[in-house]
Amino acid sequence: MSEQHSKRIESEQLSRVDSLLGLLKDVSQQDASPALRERLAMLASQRFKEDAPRPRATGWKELAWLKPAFAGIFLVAAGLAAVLVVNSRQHGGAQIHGTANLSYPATSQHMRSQVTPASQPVHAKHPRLRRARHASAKPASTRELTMRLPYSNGVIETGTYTTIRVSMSQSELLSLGFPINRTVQDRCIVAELTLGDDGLPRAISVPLPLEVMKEKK
Amino acid sequence: MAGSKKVDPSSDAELAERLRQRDEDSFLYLYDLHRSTVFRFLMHMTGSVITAEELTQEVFVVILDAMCAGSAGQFDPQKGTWEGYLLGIARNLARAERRRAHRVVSLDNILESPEWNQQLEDFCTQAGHVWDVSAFLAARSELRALYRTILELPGRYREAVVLCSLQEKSYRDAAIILQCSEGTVASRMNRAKAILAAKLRRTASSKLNTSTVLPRKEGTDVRTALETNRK
Repeated sequence: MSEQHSKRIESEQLSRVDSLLGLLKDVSQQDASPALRERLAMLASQRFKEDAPRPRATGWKELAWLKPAFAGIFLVAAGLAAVLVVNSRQHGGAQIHGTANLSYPATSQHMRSQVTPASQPVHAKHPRLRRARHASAKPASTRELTMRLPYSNGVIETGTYTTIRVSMSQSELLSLGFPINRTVQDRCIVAELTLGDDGLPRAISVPLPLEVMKEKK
Repeated sequence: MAGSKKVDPSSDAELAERLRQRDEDSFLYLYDLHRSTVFRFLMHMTGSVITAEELTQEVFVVILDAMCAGSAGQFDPQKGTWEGYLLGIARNLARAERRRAHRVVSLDNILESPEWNQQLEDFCTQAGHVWDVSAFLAARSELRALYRTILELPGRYREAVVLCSLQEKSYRDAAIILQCSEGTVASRMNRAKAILAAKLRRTASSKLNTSTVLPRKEGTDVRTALETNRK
């Protein structure tokens, strides 16, 4: 009896839910505001105008115009990497051939950088200098110690450089920070002075092995 | 369909073809044809008119994006109708919104809006019922409780109730939209109604315990009662 009663109540409740759902359906007949239609119409016309002549590319196709830029950046990066590798090799060679037991002056640490070799070397003949016999020919090795001069202005780009072969005393080279044996300071060594187009000296390079010159008495 | 030119494609396939050709009028035709269904579905699923409007716009922006790419999205006339396709998008957006918001849905947007009360009043007037204030308020209270309960239902049951009861879709159409079998839809409907009945019963019994008797105002019309109630 009670089971039948509970079933009857349950079915009544379900029918009540049905009728309430029907009422809810009739009551909730709201609609989107007309402004939404206007917004969409405006958006549609704007979008179709933007890319009217071509079908819209998607994904990576949109970035196709960046390809030349990426290629350029890659080439520049590769060039810089190559220059750095070459310079580091030269620097390493110089350190190997330099005299290890010499200390660098404190001011010369930040000056130890490499300068691009001269494109068109000009050899100046010093009247007072006479080359030693063994120094007449240029050594086969292209390694050299290079020192940027403190008064050179690296900011100014002159485009080309000129190299002059000069004779410098070993003490002068030592004062500039070259790692040369300081036990013999009175001899002169062949060095290459790099001049910028503005006439200012940019750097001094000492070819290795060292070329010793004898001064005419 | 106000504002759009004469666009009357004979089939969903033809409409899809026109959309692929980036026909703006066809887009607006599609919107006019299905905006109510999509909007009401989203309103019932989110419980917020503002969110429903935003998501309705998103649904049609999806179509617009597809048109700009020269396609009609993933719509296939062999598989279903435009209405089903749009409701599918709306369903996904409503789910995403629910996950994103992750909050208790506020019903005040719908149930406290003047439009809601106006529509309830109009419905009562059109139905020819002689409603006194207490009956009207009782009906409104009951509807509010029902709506709250619907929004508290698990998603799969709520979808079934919204589609089949509030939007009068057949079990077959609902099954296509929900991507399940008709039997599953029927089962979900039965289960959802049982849950609704149980919750309403609990709500009614708790109200009986804490109810205060409203003073009956003889001769007061519905509008006046609503005004009083709002104050």
